[in-house]
Amino acid sequence: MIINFILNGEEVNYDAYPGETLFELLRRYHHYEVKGNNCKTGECGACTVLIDGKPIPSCTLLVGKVIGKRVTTIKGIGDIDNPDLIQKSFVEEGAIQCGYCIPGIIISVEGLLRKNPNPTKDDIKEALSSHICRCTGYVQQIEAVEKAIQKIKEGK
Amino acid sequence: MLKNVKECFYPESLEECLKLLSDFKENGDIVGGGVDIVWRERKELEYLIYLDKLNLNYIKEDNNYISIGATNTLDELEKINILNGSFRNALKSVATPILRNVITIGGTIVRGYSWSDILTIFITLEGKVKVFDGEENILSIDEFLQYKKNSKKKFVLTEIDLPKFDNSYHFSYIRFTRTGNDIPLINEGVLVKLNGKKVEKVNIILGGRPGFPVHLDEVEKFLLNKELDENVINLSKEIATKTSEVQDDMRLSMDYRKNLSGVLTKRNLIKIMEEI
Repeated sequence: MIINFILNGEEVNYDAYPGETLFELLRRYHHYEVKGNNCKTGECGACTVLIDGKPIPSCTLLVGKVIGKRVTTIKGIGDIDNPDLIQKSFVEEGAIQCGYCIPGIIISVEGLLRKNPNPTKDDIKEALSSHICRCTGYVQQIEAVEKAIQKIKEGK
Repeated sequence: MLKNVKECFYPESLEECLKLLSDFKENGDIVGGGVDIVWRERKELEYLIYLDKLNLNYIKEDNNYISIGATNTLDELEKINILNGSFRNALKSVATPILRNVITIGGTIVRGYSWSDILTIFITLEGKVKVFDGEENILSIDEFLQYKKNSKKKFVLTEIDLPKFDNSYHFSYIRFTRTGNDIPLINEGVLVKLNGKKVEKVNIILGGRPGFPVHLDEVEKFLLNKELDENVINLSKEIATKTSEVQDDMRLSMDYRKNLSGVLTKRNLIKIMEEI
């Protein structure tokens, strides 16, 4: 089946299998667009993407649900040459080690800040609760999000 | 990947949706959020029926009910500010934020897993569902679970209705899990209507027993016309522990579940007492 949606601001058309997930589709066409597919149940959060601004695990989302939607992957947030403020803050705060879970976490933080530009620490913890990180831990990540919020406010 | 799926359909009417379900029999199913369908990877599934063109994504209110369209995701229900925020807090305890962004309320109720947080919450709050099987039926959640088990008709769940509660109602929900994001080993919802300081009406629903959610009838009878105080709450805990109908499964023993049913009853009633 041909499905169309907006991927990182560009309209795309893909020939999709009707029983595949968005994760599988993105991996087939752009294998670097979404990272890790650890659990395949949406519990680890590594493959999270924004769908119309909401963070959703792409491994649980059938392609039939994506038609006409606006999809943002980690590549739509920023890359190594042009990182956004959230990504910069994660690097500066040492909130990354292996990096496997980080794209999904950045996407969730982006989704949180679009919905609520002034989240409390509890809001940040709740957003990060969708994600499993087995090396850095969560303290630096919470600090990185707080730093990103500060940077956004200061327009840095 | 659901390898055997051949085609997706987007019916534009409930009648069309029913016809597709009847034509495809066990080879077709409705996709709500799709999470359960992806998880279970049913080999017989060849046709997916999406509800996206049926306009079932709404939350409306009238004088008596809040009507929730079946395709609303759980995060969208968090906008419903009733029962001093305790309904929203109960929803926020379910799964993770990213999963709540995709799981639909209709899909969760139709799947009807006995451990489901949503079943326990909506039975406690006396929710009703609208089911279309050629004609519209309005059923309580309990009735719906029986309907689903016994009726051979194909159906589409279209709406969930919650009664509107005034300030005399208080609600608390607790789930007991191995980890925050796990499915509950046992869960309990309590809805209390007070007349002055006395309990005029109470629902105590125990889910994940591991069977379907049930009322703790003996505790409900005991609490009627009583004021909530420490002594009454401790006695309620004892009655819940003695009378709760729970069973063993591979995750938890019956004795442990019995003790937990008392503990959850006590904690829920304390939360309500503190709110009053």
